[in-house]
Amino acid sequence: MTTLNINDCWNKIGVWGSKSPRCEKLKRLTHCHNCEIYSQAGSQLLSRPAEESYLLEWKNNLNQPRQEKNINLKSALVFRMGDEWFALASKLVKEITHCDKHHSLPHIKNQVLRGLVNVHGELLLNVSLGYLFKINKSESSNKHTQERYIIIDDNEESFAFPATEVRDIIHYDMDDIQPTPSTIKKDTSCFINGIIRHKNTDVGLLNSDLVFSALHKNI
Amino acid sequence: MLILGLNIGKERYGIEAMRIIEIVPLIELKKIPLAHNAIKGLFNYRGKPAPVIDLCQLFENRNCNNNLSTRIIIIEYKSLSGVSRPIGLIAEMVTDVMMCETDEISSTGIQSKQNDFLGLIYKHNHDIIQLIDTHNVLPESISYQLANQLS
Repeated sequence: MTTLNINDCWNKIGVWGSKSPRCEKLKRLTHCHNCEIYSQAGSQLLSRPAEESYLLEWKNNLNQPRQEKNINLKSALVFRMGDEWFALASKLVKEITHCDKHHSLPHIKNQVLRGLVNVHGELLLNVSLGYLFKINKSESSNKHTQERYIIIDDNEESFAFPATEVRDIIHYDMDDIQPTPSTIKKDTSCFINGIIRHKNTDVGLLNSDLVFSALHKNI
Repeated sequence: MLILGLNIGKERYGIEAMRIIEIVPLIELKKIPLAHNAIKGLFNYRGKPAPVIDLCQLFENRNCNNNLSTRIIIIEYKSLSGVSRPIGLIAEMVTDVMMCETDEISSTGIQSKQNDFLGLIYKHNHDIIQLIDTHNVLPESISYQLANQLS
């Protein structure tokens, strides 16, 4: 096996490292995933001969008829607010972006409407779903998670709301939805269709119609 | 439209993603004696024999390298006998896909009978990427052999 000469700057001055000064590019790119140095190193790994066991496994896989995929799967974005995990239908999510300066609006005593945020030059209403669901700020702060703005759109209005962490997109079947336990606070549970188990966490599947109508009502 | 990027040697090419069924690693193939140079062999694709054609052999008269990034692109191919079947195309550096607008595609302006499958060109980050029309990429000598295999 040939050895590769790779400078793993992402482990030193990038998102997985702690050396300072931090990489200049991070401000612009947010994450090393978006950097060409990272992807070039990745493609270097592919410029090696394949292992025989790997090819044999694929050969045996391709012998088999294709497994029918469940086409009734729905997709949802999983994110965390405070200590609670939620999922929202992916088709409503327009963008996930990092937190820029937010502008508060004077003379507005509305806890749900926090102000405005500038996303690509467009001013969007900045709302707090955390307040809507009566969720407290997370106590366990983790340096590796970064707050993001999730931008959602119901074809009428776009809203931006901050989430403590965005994890990934899940695909679920209607059968995967379990009923909401009665121990969940009522303020939160009325927005939830059910619970989906994902990577050992219980994720509350949000009822998007209710979320949007509550947002429209509160602004 | 979405385009799969690939290399033949140093040149960058693209194939429209809509035409691709699946992309798999360069697995071991069943060699076919006395077939066209570019026909690398057959493999069992989901219970059907699929012939595999080496694009490097076709364009540059040499075998593709055996790196991990060299892969078999499986497409649906309509053979001369009119029957559709999956075939594999081997190419190098099959590592990324890119989006392109239809108006970014234009003619190469150079057309000959041998390369009329390269009708289109696309500019992406100043690199010129030639689009391969998978329906017409195989020369008659190969498509004739593929048509016969089915009967």
